[in-house]
Amino acid sequence: MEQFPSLTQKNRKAIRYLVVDDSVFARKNVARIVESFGGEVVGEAGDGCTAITEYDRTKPDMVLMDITMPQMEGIEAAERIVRAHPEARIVMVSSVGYQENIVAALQKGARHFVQKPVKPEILYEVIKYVMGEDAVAAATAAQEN
Amino acid sequence: MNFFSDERAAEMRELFFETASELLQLLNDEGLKLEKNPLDKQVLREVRRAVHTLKGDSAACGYQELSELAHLLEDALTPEVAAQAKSALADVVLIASDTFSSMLSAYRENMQPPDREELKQQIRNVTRPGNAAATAKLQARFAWSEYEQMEISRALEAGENVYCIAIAIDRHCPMRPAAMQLIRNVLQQSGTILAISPGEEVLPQEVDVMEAAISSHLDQETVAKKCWIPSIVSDVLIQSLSQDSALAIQEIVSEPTEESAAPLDEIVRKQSFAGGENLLRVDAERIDSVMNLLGELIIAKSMLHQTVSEFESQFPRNPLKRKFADALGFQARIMNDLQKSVMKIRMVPVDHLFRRFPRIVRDVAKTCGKDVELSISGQDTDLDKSILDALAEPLAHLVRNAIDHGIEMPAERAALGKSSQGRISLSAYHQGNQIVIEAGDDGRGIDRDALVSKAIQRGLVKQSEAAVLSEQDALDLMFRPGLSTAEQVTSISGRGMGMDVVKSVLDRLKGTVSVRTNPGQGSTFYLRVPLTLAIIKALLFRVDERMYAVPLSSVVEITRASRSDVQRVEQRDMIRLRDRVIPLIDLHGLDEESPAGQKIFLVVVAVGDRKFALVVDKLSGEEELVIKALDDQLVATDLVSGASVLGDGTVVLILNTASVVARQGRARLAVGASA
Repeated sequence: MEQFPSLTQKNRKAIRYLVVDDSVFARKNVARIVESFGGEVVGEAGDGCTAITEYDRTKPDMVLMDITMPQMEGIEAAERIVRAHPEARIVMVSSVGYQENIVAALQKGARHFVQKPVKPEILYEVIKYVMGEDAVAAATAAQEN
Repeated sequence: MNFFSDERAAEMRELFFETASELLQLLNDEGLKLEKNPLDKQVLREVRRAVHTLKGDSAACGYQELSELAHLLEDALTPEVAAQAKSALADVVLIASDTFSSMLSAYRENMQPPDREELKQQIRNVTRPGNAAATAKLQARFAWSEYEQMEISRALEAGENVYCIAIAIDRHCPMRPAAMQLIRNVLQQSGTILAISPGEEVLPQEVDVMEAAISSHLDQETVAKKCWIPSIVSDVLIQSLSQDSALAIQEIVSEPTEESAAPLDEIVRKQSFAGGENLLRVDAERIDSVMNLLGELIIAKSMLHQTVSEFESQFPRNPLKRKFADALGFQARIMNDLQKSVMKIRMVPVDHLFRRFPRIVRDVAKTCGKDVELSISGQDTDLDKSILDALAEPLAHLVRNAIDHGIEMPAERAALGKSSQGRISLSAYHQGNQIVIEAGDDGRGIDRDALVSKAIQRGLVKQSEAAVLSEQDALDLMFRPGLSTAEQVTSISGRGMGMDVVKSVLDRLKGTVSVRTNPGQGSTFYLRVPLTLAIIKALLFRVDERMYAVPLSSVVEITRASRSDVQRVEQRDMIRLRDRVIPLIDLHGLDEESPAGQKIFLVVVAVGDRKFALVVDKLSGEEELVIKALDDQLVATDLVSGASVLGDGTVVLILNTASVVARQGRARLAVGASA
């Protein structure tokens, strides 16, 4: 896989992710990608309800959330999380078909969206953007090794 | 009704293809100009206008892919991109012209348009953001409503930072509504939105740029950074408004941007087009049928002539004789004018052909790493459209060859004391009833010896024959199939056609091709074609009671000689005419042996730079002949280029002098037998 300069918090600690998707495969795939950015997956959830409890438990820096899930949809989960934690950084992950849902999620407070299948280089830029001032990228990938 | 609309649609399509190819030509021309002056705004505007029109026309005809591509290109054609991309933009324009052209031909054949990825990539390359200059390509209007302007002024008066922001949505972003929502979110987070356009009422698919004015406590850099939303935004333009620049908003609004100037250009253009409303697009077939009728009329005229002269010989004193003569003379004049007028309809200036060449020369020169200048003259000369079209390929081949093999590399030229820039010249002019098109270069010239030895090697000529070849004959070897003097076949001149194909095209057009060369100074090809294929002035003569004709334009002189003047040299009959020895072609059958002292008529015919004499029995005067094409299945020879009917019904065979001279030496002619 392509090497990216590792993306960390300002204090050089790893960025902590919560990955939410009802497909295990999709979760593992996203987890693998963010780990390649030097991130740490602190929690995973397969539905909206679990996502909320996992958020409360782990207090991650970043949530990567699928839109369509059983029990509670991604939009509602995002809305609830943001309502409880306005600082939550939620990036919606979805296929093109769910445009309206993404618009809704953005209106409810999601920070960004990426398209499935997730392209690492795009996700990297999106995370960097959403983290903003709170993240730094290592000068080169080599430094980390 | 349905039929009508179908027909109408087909007509529109035809019109579209025609105008589109004109636009592509314009695109080509302007693209070349742009390459020389990448920053010339006028040229850029011309290019943009052509692309814009193409975009609109193709959309109107339902050619979506073309329209989209043109749209993409149009967006890239801004002074800012030009300033950044320099001549790379001209490259894109030229590639676009090629791509468009292949798409058009696909559409014409009702096929799927070819792959366009390369062009898209090229366009992306020149417009890629990140290069600081590219940010400026985004053209913002910031045309706020009165209410919004009030909001802005109020915020300014309150001492807030006000930014006008234009955000271009990445063309490849498939989720526009989401993208627009995200942009709104980001703007909201950055401050207070005072104005935003487009609002939510506009269909997201039609939005490329969002503009907004926000008041914010953040500094400009931070706001800009926030606006660069990855994977969604391709460009950001941000202007800070200070209190004293409040007036500037007005200015920005009223300043005629290029965008708003365009419609005006359009109007001017439409007007200049209106001047051409007298132009009529007519199917070539309709003109051909007029031409055919005219041909019949000419035959009728000569019938009348025949009858009148019979009448005159029967009633030499009849006063009607004079009236007939007057009427015939009058009729002849009118028919002459009529013929010229009809022919003129078919005529187009050679410029139609020549104007493709700047591009060809540029491309080939670039591929070869040579510096070549093209000079064109005589482009106003008129030529029959069908001939002109047929000449395009041969001429392109000659020019490609000249650049590829003729013109030396710049360093080599400099070493030879030549200017390092090579020169290709194209010119066209009248010569008698013919048009001559010259294609010359100032390169190394053609190596006669190499040509001859190659011909021997390929078995085209025998060693013994080669020794006695005249300069001209030796050079003409290059037009034989299977010969090329280039040391290696390059991609440029290796493709397409060889010199032999050039020749066969010219043969078909009843024309000739010849070449002159000066070692070290270059060579020039001469393509000679008749003004028109339909009607010729011809000299009629009889051989063995059969009537033949040769184009009068090729006849140099008519003379008499005695059989005893004929000499046999190298198994050919030759005759000395004044100071020149020229080959003799006897159209009689092989078996005929004429008494030595007999007087013979000679018609001396010139083909290209060569002359030969035809032995004929009797001359029958000159006449205008309407050439009727002969079916290949009826006449299995290229020695006859066509037939015609005289006023009295006699059938005349028109000799193809070029083929006759080519055959000369190989065998004695037996035209009569094969016809």
